[in-house]
Amino acid sequence: MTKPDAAPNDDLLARSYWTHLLVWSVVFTFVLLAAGLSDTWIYRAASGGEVVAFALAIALIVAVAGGYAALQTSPDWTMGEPKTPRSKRIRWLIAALVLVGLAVALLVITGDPEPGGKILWRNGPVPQTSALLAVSIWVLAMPLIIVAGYTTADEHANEAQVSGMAVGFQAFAYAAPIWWMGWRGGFFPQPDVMILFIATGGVSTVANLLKRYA
Amino acid sequence: MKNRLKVLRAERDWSQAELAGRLDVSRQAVNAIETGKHDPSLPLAFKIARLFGMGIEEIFDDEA
Repeated sequence: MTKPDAAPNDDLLARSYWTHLLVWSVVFTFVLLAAGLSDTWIYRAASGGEVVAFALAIALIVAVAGGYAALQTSPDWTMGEPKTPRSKRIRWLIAALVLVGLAVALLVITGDPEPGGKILWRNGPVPQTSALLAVSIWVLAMPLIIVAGYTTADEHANEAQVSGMAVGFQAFAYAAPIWWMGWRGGFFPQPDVMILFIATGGVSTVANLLKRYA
Repeated sequence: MKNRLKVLRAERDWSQAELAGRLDVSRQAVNAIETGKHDPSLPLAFKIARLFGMGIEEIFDDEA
């Protein structure tokens, strides 16, 4: 019988959870790096592509080796969570969210005449077809994912989500009028909706994670 | 709200993940309830009580 203060496997599971998260984060970083380098490599294939190709090969090797190591140490995506139909649906939803993000990013990148995917980090115009397709994916997929997320997550996760959203909106409601009025008064540059969106999302995510794990 | 969830779980030699699976919640939810950071809803409290074959007030104490 295990003592109440040392319930079975909890410490081990917690360690496994964070190790798993760290390893997969590193793997995905190198996958994204490889994707960016591939994009550059394709555009520069005609001249001077050797250095990029070498970096691409390194990124791919690290991504594959890291992915293999992660699969060997934690051969599933549960990260210590119970294997139930609900948790399986959560993992599918996370995968769907990643796919939507990748699809939108790829559509925007493929419409860019310059290599490297820099268009993602700019505020300039995007080709009309790319924008229309990206918006269509977002419009159709996001409501489904959001509703499915709320109905699938357990009450603790939903509470953290609602709490995070509230803090995020409070941050937005605080910052947006200051920027807007400051702009009208000539103190600040014109308000940028994407900076506000990303900042609000960041604050919301941090508040969500603090509520969930702290 | 204080509760005896961790003790009851340990008596049955269940990990947090095992208990979470039986309750169909996440491991974080079990951890948050055990540490008093999350008060379960009434339906979840009933589910917990049924799982351990006890009354809600035998597991949760709102006066402690």
